[in-house]
Amino acid sequence: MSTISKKICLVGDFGVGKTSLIRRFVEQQFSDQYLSTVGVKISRKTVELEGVKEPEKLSLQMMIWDLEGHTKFKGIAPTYLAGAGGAIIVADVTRQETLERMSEHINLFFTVNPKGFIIIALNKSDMFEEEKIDKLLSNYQFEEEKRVLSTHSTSAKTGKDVDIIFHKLADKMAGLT
Amino acid sequence: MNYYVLDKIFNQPSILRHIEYLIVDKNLHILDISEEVQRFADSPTRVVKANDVREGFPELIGYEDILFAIIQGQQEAFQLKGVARSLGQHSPPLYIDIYVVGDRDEKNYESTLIIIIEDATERMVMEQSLVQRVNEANLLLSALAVSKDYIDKIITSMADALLVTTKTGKIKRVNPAAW
Repeated sequence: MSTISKKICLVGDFGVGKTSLIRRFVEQQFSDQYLSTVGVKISRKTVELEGVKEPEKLSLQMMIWDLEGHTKFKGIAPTYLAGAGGAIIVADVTRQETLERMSEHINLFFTVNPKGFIIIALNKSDMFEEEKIDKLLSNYQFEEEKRVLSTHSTSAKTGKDVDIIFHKLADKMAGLT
Repeated sequence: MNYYVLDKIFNQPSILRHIEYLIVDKNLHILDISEEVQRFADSPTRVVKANDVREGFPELIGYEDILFAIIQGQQEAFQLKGVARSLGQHSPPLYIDIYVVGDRDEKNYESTLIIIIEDATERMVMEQSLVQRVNEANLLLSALAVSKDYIDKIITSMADALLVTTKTGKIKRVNPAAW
């Protein structure tokens, strides 16, 4: 079996749950305590790629970059994004301003990595009225951007759609879908 | 660059240094290291001569284009600041800054990269504590704004009249139903 390594970045405003999504995906754990990320923290997880036949079995080592969140005093440093094959843009469904700033994050990522792929995670969906989630999802589809793969409502707390977004991005970066 | 000078600065028995270095060739294989550079590595045992530097410092994965540009003299330098190391849940945090500059081996004139690693823990821990306070205050502010908006909507749209007065009976607030 051969392994390839790819870098992916989690980008979004502060406090939207980037670190929690990574922790849920890598360690299957969740904590309610908020600890702000400064600089960058890198986690690794190897996933077996689906749709590859047994003799050519391929796995992907995801180098997951947890970036310090955007605040009004400090933006995302483009240096951190360089060389990434994909990004998960994260927003908090309970904070409108984090949803509105997603376009800015998408543009920044594509400026640095025009050939990269993006998945949108509308996080903390467990704290939002279920009937409003569908409307929110349809409002943030970014269909005009062909390299934005899809938008998901996620919850690091319950685990909803967390594995899906990482696996979907992994498959796309490996050129399988 | 005279590596003897680097050796003289870095490889002397002393207190815990804040700066270490690695020298790598154009294939990113390690040619030389300072004595304690492993303590800054993600996989310390992988940081040995002839190994790929990315095995010990995985944050360099993805930056190959930039590193090769420096080796070829197309870019002067590169820096990556505030990289956190996971040393286990109960270990104290460790942060590093990485600086990369190009150089030429004085014996065979091959292009090399000098990777300087600096301990940035003190600065980043202080930054974390400041950022934590500011972010918590902003999250609280945001939650209060949402809560106020919600309460205002209820008061404005309720069918019952609501009057809030001071102790002396002066009206402070009324809702539309009271008009």
